[in-house]
Amino acid sequence: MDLRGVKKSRMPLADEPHLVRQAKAGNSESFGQLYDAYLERIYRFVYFRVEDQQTAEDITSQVFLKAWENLGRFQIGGTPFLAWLYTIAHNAVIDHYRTRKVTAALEDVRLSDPGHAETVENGIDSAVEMGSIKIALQTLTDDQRQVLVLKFIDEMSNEEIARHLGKREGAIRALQMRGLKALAKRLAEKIPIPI
Amino acid sequence: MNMNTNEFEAILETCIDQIAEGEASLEECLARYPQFEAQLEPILFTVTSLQRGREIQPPPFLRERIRAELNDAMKSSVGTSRLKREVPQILFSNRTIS
Repeated sequence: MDLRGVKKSRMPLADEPHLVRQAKAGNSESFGQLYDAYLERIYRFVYFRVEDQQTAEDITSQVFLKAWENLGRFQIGGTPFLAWLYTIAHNAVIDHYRTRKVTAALEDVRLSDPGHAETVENGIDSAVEMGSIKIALQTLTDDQRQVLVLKFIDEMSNEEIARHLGKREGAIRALQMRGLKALAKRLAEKIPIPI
Repeated sequence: MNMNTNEFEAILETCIDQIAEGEASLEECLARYPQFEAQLEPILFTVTSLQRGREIQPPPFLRERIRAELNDAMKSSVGTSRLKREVPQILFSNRTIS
């Protein structure tokens, strides 16, 4: 598959600081624009880190509700708004696993994902491939998984990921390399997808 | 770590970055470094597989569901200390920005 020329969908909102300022002042229309702009990215970020689509939907909802509730604490000019949303999403995923005491062991991952049929209809011609990747991602460390999702699915640069995770670029490259090698190995083992 | 390993790691990193940036395809990278094709292929294939995750979209109903939940939260937050500064007069509408 040739992905050259893929349009970058992650351009920051040109008027983001203005929208955030307005939203912090209580303007729900501005918050709605931020929500529209970032829903897909937050959903994908969560989707590849939890076991099923329903959980991804619920956590994505929580992220935006928490963002609205805590908007007063967000500092304009500090962390970018999207990075702040990612932090909320990251914490929500951790809370989810802590609450449910879900282990990340591959043997415990069950992909009861009714959304896959829908996903196929929506254009992905290999739900099996995506399901395998999702399961294999669960076998990586949290840092490795986060780096791979941010880099290859969310199209962040190593520099952006380093800033977001508070690590050095060299550490991000190492995590990326180890994660990719581990993922390739797991995929080569042809992990069966539980239906 | 020998010279060959160092060379492979450098090539692998270059190929990963080029594919990630859309500057080269998997096939082009493999053709460029035939001596490492067998080692590069599974890792670079994993990269392109991951990139297909970009096609994952939230289900259409989710956008509206969360919008409705946010509208409810915004309504119920009217009168709280933060929003006393400016009560949201217009809750964000049902339009979809694509």
